[in-house]
Amino acid sequence: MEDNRAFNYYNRFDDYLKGELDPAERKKLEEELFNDSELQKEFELYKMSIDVVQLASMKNAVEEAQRRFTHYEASLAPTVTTSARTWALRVAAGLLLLMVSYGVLQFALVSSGSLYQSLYTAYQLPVTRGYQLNYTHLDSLYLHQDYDTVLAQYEKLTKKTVRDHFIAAMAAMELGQYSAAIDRFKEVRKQNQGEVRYFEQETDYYLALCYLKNEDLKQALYSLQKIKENESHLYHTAVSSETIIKLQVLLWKQ
Amino acid sequence: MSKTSIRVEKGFSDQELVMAITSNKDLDKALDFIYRNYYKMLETIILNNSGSQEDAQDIVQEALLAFLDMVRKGKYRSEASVKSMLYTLTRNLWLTELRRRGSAQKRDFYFEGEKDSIEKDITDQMAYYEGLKLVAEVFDRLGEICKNILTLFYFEGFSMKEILEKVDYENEQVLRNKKYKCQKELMRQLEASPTLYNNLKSALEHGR
Repeated sequence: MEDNRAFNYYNRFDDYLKGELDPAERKKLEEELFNDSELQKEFELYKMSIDVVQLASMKNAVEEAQRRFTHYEASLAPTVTTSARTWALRVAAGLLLLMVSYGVLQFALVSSGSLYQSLYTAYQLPVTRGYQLNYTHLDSLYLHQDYDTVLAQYEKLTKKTVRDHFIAAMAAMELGQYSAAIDRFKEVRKQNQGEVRYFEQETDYYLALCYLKNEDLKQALYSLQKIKENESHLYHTAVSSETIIKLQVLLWKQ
Repeated sequence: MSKTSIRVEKGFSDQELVMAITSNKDLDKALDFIYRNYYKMLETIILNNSGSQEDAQDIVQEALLAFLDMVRKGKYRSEASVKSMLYTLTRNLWLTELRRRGSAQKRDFYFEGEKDSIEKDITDQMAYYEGLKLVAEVFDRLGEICKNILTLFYFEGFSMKEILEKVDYENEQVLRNKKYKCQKELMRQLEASPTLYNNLKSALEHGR
């Protein structure tokens, strides 16, 4: 079909298919289609092309919708992550609140006296059958908890060993004479310069407790932190993180 | 509405979905609604029967396309809900695909029972759709300008006067000439492949 004729027919086809032809025009076209097999074939092809356009357009619309949906689904993932993050933040906030509450409570309740009580354990001199006969006099007095006499006898000794200083320090602690105890412990350290050191780690710990009881909190904190950092220290497990926190709280209060 | 983000502002009843598809008004929103409400159900049909997520995407797209075409041609009967129609279309398309792949899975899959009244309509529609699917590629081979003009006229339903405002042409006559050439080219491509032409013709006769 040449172009001019086809052009006119195509316009009429469109009007016909849209129902926009008046009845006379419509009847005329239908008669032409009925009598002209070539025109009929052209009309079928024309309708087919319209189907193709509509189908392809619908296909695009569906593909676009699929893309939007995929995008939407993907956007849910960050939401879930955000949700998880939100939960994590809530838990963290809860923990923080607990920690703050705990801190406030500790701040209100902690004292050097209470902390000392929680850390102090009376020192037990090693008691073995083999050693019983060799106990010095101070040892014996200390074992009988006669602390005043320990200190009196200590003062009388002309030659004092590391062991004497240590027992005297412990006796002073038992009597609440912390400054005296500190002096004795310092004597232990002073004399303990040899290759083999006696009561060294016991002294670290009990001296720190004396500082604590004497309100020398910075020194106490320093000493206890050193013990905590040293995993092989005899008293390492006795110093917990809580102990350090409490000491820090005491320092803030101070 | 942006085409890159999905916004379903309201729910659609079945009747409203049909209206949106027929009138082409709010079609994007209607499709978004269908995807958000029915996709997971349709996807499950594929995933539970040896299909992958990619299979599900393809088959659901094809089922939706068949459904849109069915509605636009007035062949959708409202006695079957949109949901069950989409379910049946998806199931049948997947069954056809499994048969095509020669999978034994189809024997286990062919349904638990009901031979509903929409079954034959769907089989007819599927044959019609299968034919139409082949020529979608032909349309894609037209240039962008032709595709745009023909889509605006035959899919969006704009008049030539309205299209003139959307495209860069001197006057309506020039636009009409261009549309004529575009359509002629499309018809030429359809005619150029006798197999394609006959398949499509047969499908059209079957579907109408």
